[in-house]
Amino acid sequence: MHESVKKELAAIVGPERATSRPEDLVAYSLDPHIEEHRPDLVLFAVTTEEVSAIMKVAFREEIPVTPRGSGTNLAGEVVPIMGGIVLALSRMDRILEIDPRNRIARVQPGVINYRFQQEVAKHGLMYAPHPSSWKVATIGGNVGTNSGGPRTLKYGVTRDYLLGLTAVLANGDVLKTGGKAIKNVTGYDLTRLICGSEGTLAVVTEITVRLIPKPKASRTIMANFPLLEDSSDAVAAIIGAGIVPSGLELMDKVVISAVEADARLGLPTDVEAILLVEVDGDPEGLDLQVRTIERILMENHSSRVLVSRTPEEADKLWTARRNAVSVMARLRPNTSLEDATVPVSNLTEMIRKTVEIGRKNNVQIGVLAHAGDGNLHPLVLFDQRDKDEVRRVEAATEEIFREALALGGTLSGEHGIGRAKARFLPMELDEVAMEVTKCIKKSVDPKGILNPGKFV
Amino acid sequence: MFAEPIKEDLHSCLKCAMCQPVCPTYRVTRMERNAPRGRVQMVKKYLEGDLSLSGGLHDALMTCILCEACSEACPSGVRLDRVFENIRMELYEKFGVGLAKKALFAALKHPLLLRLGAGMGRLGQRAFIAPLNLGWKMGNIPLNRLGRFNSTSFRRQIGEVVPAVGKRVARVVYFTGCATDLINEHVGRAVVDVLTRLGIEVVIPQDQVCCSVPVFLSGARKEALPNIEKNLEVLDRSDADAIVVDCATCGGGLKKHIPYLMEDLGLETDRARRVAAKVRDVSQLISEMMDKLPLASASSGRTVAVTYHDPCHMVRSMKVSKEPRTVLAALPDIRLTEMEGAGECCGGAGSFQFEHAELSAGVTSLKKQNIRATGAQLVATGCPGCMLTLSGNLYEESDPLVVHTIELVAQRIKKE
Ligand SMILES: Cc1cc2nc3c(=O)[nH]c(=O)nc-3n(C[C@H](O)[C@H](O)[C@H](O)COP(=O)(O)OP(=O)(O)OC[C@H]3O[C@@H](n4cnc5c(N)ncnc54)[C@H](O)[C@@H]3O)c2cc1C
Ligand code: SF4
Ligand code: SF4
Repeated sequence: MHESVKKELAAIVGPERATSRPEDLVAYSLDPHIEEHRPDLVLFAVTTEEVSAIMKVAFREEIPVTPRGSGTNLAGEVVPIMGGIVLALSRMDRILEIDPRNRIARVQPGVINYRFQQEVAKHGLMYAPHPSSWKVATIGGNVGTNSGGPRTLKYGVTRDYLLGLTAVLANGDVLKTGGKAIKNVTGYDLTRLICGSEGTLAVVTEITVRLIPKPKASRTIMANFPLLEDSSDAVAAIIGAGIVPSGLELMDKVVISAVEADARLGLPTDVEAILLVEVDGDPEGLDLQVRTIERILMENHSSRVLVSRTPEEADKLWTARRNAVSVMARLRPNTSLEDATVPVSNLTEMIRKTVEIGRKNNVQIGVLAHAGDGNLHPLVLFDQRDKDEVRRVEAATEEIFREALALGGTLSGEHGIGRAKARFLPMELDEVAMEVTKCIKKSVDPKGILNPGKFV
Repeated sequence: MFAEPIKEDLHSCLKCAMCQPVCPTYRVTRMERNAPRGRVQMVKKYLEGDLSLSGGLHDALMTCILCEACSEACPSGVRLDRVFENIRMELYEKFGVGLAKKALFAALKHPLLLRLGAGMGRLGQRAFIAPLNLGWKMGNIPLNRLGRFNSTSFRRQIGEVVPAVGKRVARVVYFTGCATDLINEHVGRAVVDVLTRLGIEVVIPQDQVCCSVPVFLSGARKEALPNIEKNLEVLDRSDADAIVVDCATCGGGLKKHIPYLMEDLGLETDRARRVAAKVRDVSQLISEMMDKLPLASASSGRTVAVTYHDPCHMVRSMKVSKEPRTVLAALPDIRLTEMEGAGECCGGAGSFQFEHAELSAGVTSLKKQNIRATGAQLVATGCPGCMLTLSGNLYEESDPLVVHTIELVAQRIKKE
């Protein structure tokens, strides 16, 4: 990048919010993914006008631009693989409006999910999309990746709560989509097209979302299963019974042992799986649901069913679940958290295959799953410095993807494609789908400057 | 120079950013250079040869408060505090420190110089009343809120041994720290009053010196060694039941950072660990003997609301947070109300608030909001550094007063 262009760009935001110091470039060369690449310049924009002005220059000069929230995505989506500009939205972090009467809120992209939840809770409301990374991730990043999380089964994903966006296109034009109306069928659904586009179509600068009433109560049930098959049968039976849990999580043997060794909660280490089920809603209705779930779990050969009596007890279980990733991560220097997702009916088969693939490639794998939506999180452990092990991990990962697709699933349930899975994309999207994807990209970003080197 | 075992931690960083939301400096700037992940990754790249020991690196790492919140939050067990302490040593050896800090280090190393400095400070404060009231500031703190120096050293005032009141049940060594010795004699008197009334004999070694935590956390690890050795010698020679501190920084230093420093430098750590095992915050001792505390009876209707601020070095380096609350809650005429984020840094961090005034102000403003939201009339805490920062920044008329936990205890025991 020419020094004069750097100067021109820096002038848009001012010297305090522009940097090309090597230390900063290093800090913005990475996210949890293994690959890294330095940008040439990092800009911190705080208004739509600034973003637009930056994009105009980038468009003219054909400079790659990678929009970035908190950099927690797990697929290398914010690694500026072709250099250029990292456009950080972290400082554009105002909650512009919370309208409890219409149950609508307007936020800037850099607002942290957790902070937003705290604010809307003051009005008895909830913003449903709730990734496990909620304390760190931005709403803009949630939109970029179409984030889900443990509550997805009942409440859906980010896309389901978006009403409108303000977004800056590659050439600097400002696009407004949707609005404040809950129903809106006018024109193509551009809002949802941009959601999940991983920063490849536009830079989102304002987000209007729908809020829902906060559930009054919740209950948690834990069930041990000596046989893996039984646990996924139970999952299918619960859903078949017309119950929609707000959480339905599975931990396999490897994960249970690690969690128990760390937290000593008295989890059984001789079972193949543990299911955690959470239901929420009005306190009156909950008891009946809990009894039905208990019955279904027993019928499906759970060796022990435990219903939490207090919120504290429930919290302990969920904390153990949330800590599972960390506890596993401590076992080895590096962890890769995969995201293959299959139809719920194939969950058991997918878990079995995953374990087998690990064994075959001599790679340590533990399996966590948002079981209710068939979303597996195989935790692959390794040491980045051991080149041979890295190769085996790559082989295993590829096999996991193939297996997921063969079972009617997808590469990624919620973490996205980014760098990590870009080369596998053609495995899932057929020629026509790839062609349409490319056409869309080309028409809004003809010079290919928005987050290049990723999935399109 | 960078301790080998700590280098291993850098490979365990998953780059997951779970350390980000707890970082006080990141909350203010929302830039990776002020976030733990950014900092740790910079150190990693430096050690791998991809970055040099530059001004930018210095800036990123010296704007870290060393509050240890990130180390506590990291799911992967990266000991960020130790990473930062190690790299600071290298930065110090290249960049040194500013003149003011140099003078301070020299003073902290030499007890005589330190007392002389305090004496001059006292004279200065008397002679220059005018600027004190002109609203001039040092960092973010108006000069007239910086506190006054003791008329003479607290340790000298009080002597080597203060016997227990009544039957002696225990004997402790009291490590007074510089703040109590030179500025907060009222805190020192409260410690001695309360402990002796509990039947504890208090020994105050007259040859103890500055803990030198401010020196070695700035990176001057080797410079701090003479003081560290001296204190270890003084504290290890006694067979007292405990070593008591009223300063979270002294306590955290003795308990955690000094053994780590010795280990990192490849020095013998046995003595440092023996001493560390005995170090207790004064609130810990008191909480264990609450039933023996001769509390005054409650005077109806005069309850004051108190909120407690956890000093970083107390809650994280010493792992003490329950005991001061237990003690406060048991006192007559006091209602303890928790603030949000009680364990978050106040933004002071010793000289940090003067060197990085703007960043510090950002951190402090969050703390102020949380304190004010409680409506408390008093803020209690266990660190003279936090007391300075909090009282220096809470100067509106409606703001609560800042006290040391032990002062409240001392005020609420029966007069002899
Ligand atoms: C421990 C851990 C747990 C996680 N748990 C979950 C989970 O339960 N569910 C889940 O779905 N994800 C999860 N994730 C992944 C990640 O946290 C989410 O994808 C999150 O939404 C990313 O937000 P971010 O602010 O970090 O975005 P970033 O990582 O900075 O960016 C993500 C993508 O969005 C784009 N982007 C960011 N901001 C904008 C913008 N303003 N305009 C246009 N594009 C933008 C980027 O270019 C990038 O492609 C987890 C991650 C970690 C580390
Ligand atoms: S939380 Fe730990 S592993 Fe994650 S980025 Fe921070 S230091 Fe690295
Ligand atoms: S020690 Fe505190 S200020 Fe420094 S990086 Fe960690 S959390 Fe941030």
